[in-house]
Amino acid sequence: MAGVRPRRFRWGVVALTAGVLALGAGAAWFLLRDTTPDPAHVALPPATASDGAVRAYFAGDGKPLLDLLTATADLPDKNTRAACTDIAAGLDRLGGPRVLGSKAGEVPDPGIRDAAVNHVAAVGDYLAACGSGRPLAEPAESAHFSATVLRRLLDRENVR
Amino acid sequence: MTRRLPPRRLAAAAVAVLAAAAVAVATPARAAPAGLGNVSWLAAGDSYSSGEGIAGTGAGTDTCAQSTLAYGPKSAEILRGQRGWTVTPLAFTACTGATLHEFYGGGGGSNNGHGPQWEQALRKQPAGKRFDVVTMSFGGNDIDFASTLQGCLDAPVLADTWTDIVLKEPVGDAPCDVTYDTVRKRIDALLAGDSFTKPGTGFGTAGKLSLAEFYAQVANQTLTKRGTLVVVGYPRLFAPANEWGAWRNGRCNLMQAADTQMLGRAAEYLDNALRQAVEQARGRVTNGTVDYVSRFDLFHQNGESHELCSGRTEYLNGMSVGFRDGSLRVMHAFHPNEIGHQVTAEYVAGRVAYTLDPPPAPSAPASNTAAAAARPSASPIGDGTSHWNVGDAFRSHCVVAWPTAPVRTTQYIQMRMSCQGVPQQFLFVDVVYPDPKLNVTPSTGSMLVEGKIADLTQSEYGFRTVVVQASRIVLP
Repeated sequence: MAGVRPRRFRWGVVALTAGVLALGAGAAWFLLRDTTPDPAHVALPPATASDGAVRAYFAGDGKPLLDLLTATADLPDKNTRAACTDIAAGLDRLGGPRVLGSKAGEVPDPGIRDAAVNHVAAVGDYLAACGSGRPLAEPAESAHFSATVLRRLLDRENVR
Repeated sequence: MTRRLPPRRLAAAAVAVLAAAAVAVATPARAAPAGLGNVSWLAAGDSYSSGEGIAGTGAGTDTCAQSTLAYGPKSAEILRGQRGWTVTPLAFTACTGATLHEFYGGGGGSNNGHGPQWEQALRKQPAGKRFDVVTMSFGGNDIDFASTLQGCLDAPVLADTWTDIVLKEPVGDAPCDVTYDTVRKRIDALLAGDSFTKPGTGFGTAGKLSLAEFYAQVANQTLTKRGTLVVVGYPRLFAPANEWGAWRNGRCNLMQAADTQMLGRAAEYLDNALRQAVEQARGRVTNGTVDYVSRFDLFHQNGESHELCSGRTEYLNGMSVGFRDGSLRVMHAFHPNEIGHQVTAEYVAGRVAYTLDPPPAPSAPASNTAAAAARPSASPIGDGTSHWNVGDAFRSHCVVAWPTAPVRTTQYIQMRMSCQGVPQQFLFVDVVYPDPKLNVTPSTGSMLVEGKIADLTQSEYGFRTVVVQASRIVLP
């Protein structure tokens, strides 16, 4: 009987240590996990102006927004100021941010409209960060997110 | 964002239209309450009272950005239409950019050159130089809320070119220029009688007054004995970020979630401050009554947000309206839209009616006949002799009511519209037209709508609505 108690005590210490370690690992995972939703699977807003209206808009006045989306769907998370100037010059040929912002604000479906405005803003943030030499990982991810959401919304409306 | 009508509601609407057999019938206008007589009305305030967020305001000579659909004149119209009130004179002096000082003072240059609002009101010659109803929202410009808002905007996208964003001194997605504490201090100063934007000007007619003393002075000096001053507050602009939907990734109308949270706290503090000032004013009022209408509460009722990015019908314009008209100005943007003013107008009308024409104490259960007679009534659209009944012909010029987008099914398009000549109690006209491909967007201008009234009903948001089955629509 004399040897049982120390053995039990030893196993208790081991179990307690393992529990503490597991709890710590769980807490670390919880705090460090990536909480950014996946833009490819995030729930989209409902369509309110379906059928022809959205498609007709992007075939006409909204066409430069599609070109913007194509050009900015995957902005690199590392870049030079010179390269960003080239990107910006290319976008300027599609229309300045105010022009494209206005076109985004004209999209007949409110959800797609807001998504388009968000993407124009995200591209602006990316170029601003690039111009000031700030890290690009976050703005690049944000632009990728808004581009993915906008693309999914447009796919839903069969806008190509 | 406009919520799509659930299929069940769409089906109900379609049934209502196609059956066209509803029994709702408009009744004759309720007679004006005996003894009420003329009701004089002053609709004062700033851009949140002038109707700046309503389409078409601020163009040309409309330097005050006024719309008769703003809650002040609109609530007067509701009482005319539903209660048979005679509202005259109606002085509509609310002006974009107005500060508290510009109600009584500021000289000829105040209110964008229109002069002090009280002087403008007196030109309407109310009996005894007093009004029965004074509605107003003031204070937003005194704490410079517009600049605070602009300082929170995601600025790069406001540049002329993308190259400018890279090469010029970039303004990133930095947090707001001012902190919550700064705004709070400005609001505290406002309560004490100090305007941040117009320091040292004073609110009243003599000496420095606190906000509560200003309200009391307005009540004591401008109201009739039976009159009421209705102070209308400011809403929170953005729904709580946890309601936005993950697809927005923390962005709403060029704002970041953290910034909207700060603005929301500031709006709540302002709402409480104005409410507190009104309560303090009550103790000083010797004439009439003072009431407070919280748009902070009104735009967020029963746990349902109607602020920007709420995912429900938004009662305010977002920045995209500035994009839409190409101005990029904050004018129109971040102001209550037509729906927001309708909601406010209904509420204000109810409060004013309760004060000036309180319902009689219940004595006996109302009979069905009495209840029917008390129903809101329809005024004639044409020659003043007919009523609006189901089956009547409908012909009017209509626009899609901002900011609602048409709803399309495989068989028809349904548009929530504002139409000319519609009795005031019907806040919208739901037009159903059997061509889902009709090329209409919220930006489409005035169109001719012809058809038949299929139903007189209550909308999902509580608005009384005419449902029209259109047989012909002529686009602009």
